[in-house]
Formats: sequence, structure tokens, C-alpha cells
Amino acid sequence: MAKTRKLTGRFQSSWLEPAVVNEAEFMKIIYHCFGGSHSSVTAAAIHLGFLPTNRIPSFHELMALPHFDKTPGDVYGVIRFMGRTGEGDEVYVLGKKNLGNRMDRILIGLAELLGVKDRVVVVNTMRYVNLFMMVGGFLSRRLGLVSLGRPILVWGTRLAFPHLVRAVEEVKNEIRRGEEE
Amino acid sequence: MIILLVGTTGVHHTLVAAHLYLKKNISAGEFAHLDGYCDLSLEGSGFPIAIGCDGYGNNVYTLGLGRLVEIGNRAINGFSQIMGFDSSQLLIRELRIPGDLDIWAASKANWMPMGMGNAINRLVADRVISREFKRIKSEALRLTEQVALLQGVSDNMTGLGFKAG
Repeated sequence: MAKTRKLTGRFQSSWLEPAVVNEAEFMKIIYHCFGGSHSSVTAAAIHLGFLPTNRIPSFHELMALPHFDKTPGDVYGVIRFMGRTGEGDEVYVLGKKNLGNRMDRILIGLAELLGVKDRVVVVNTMRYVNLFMMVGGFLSRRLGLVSLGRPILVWGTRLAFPHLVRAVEEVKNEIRRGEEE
Repeated sequence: MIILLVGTTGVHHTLVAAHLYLKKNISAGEFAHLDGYCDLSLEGSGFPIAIGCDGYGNNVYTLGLGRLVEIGNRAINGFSQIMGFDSSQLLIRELRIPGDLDIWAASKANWMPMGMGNAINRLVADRVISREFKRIKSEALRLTEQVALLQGVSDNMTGLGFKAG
């Protein structure tokens, strides 16, 4: 996969809208989970360098992330921009409800049809979601019991954090391998 | 251009609509003999299913999104946008008919032994599609009109020096 990597500081990780660049040169990385507001957002944040990887982030660091435990229910299926990496790749998050692994196949199948398979990485982060994240997320997002659900959710997210870091590392390695080929 | 018909499943009503769009003269009693109809091994892959090529050279595919068609469709549309494709390159059409969730639910009975699952799948699909055949046909006609319009626009744009998708 041939890619041009002539980047300046303006392409550094940003929460702003994507900058205008030659899109064909950059990867699109989509992290998806049930609601698109916890595990996928955390993984995307790790990928973008918004969170430290050498320690577990604090409650406030997690809550400061864009979209983290803030998304309303009607954004299921909406691919939301999280930021751009230092290399210029775009990172997105997606809530897919119960579509499960099918979402991987749908997006990869579509990418294959469109001839852009080598420009897309789709990552299902549901396997890293623990019971605390499920219960906390359900209480906070579904039932609106934020003050009760959020501490449970953040605790669960902190427990899952090392696994998410490893998953993101794998994704980054896969992208690097793709570039070398 | 790629035409993608999405619905609860990709091997039932969407497949019939795709064949109707491809100008195959199918009557209400004949759809059950179409290639791939009720073929759950195709459906299970989760990938778009190639149906054929229309008169303009557009490839037609169907895709089953399961119970959450709206969410899947939104994700597909968002995906094509972020990848920089427009409707002259990828046309996504959601096909919903009354009873399509019944078809999807019946397709889940595939695990049943001795061909019972397949029989249930066919029985439900045949009933729903026979009942809604007119609607599916009119959806296929609407798709034909939409493609003709898009193709006309693309052709005109080519004439003006633009490259068609």
C-alpha cells in the first residue's frame, strides 16, 4: 500500500473536523461497539494519543474525552469523527447496537466492493467490554441514571483499559505492516 | 456505479427486487426459482451478494442487515460518505416491506434439523413476498427510474468534461 506521509503540525491529533487533505492517501480506522460511547471511544482516544498508555487514566481524563458517555440514543449507526493521528489517518467511532460482528463484515464487504479495502480498518471493541461497563453504560445511557451508572462504567473502563491499549497496538501494528507491504 | 439493495435479509425480498430491477420477467409465482433465493449460506456470510449487471453496466448487489436495518443503512451511508463516494458511484436503496421482519425471523430457524429450518424459511418468505409482490415490483420500478435519472446526469456530466463514476 503506497501512502504519502508529508505532514505538518496542523495534522496532529485534533478533535476538530477533519482537515482538507488528499483523503485517498490516508487510512480510516473505525472502532465500533454497542453504543459507540464507551469502549470504542476509549480505544479511539488511545489510538489518537488522547489518553496515556503507560498508566490507567483517571475518571476526569476519561470524562474529558469527546463522546465518552455523552452520546444520545439516536446516534446508533452514525459514524462519528474522533480525530486525526499524527500520520494523518482518520479515527472514527460507531455505535451499532446488536449488529455484532456483522458490522465488520458489512463495512469490509462494502470496502471491498468499492475497491478501498486497503484504506479501511474496522475494529469491534465489544470483546473488551466487561460486566461493569455493560451495567454502568446501561444505567447511565439507557436509564439516564448518570450519577449511579457513571462511576461503575468508569471503573469498568479502567479495568478494561490495558486490554484496549493492547488492541489498539495490534491495530497500529497491522497498519504499519500494511504500509510496509 | 454499484447498486446496493439493503433489507432485513439479502436473499429474499431484496433479491427478488434486484432481479425485477434487472428486467427479468418474473411473475408472482416464479420468484421462488430465482438463483440464490432463500439461500441462507449466502446470507450467513454477511457480505454483499452479487446479483447481476444492468443495461448501463452497473453492478447490482443485495445485503442483509438483519433486524436493525435502519442502523446498518445509516452506517453504510456514513461509510460511503467518509470514503468519499457519492450516489453516482454507490447507490444504496433500503427496501422495507410489511413482514420483512417475519422473513428475517424465519431465516433464523435454519439450525433446525432435517430441512425443517429451510422449509420454514421458504414457507414464510414465499407467503410474505407473494403478498407484497406488487410493492416489491413498484420499488424495483422506482429504482429503475432513479438509476435512469442518475445515469442521465452522469452521461451529461461526462459530456461536459466530468468523469462519470
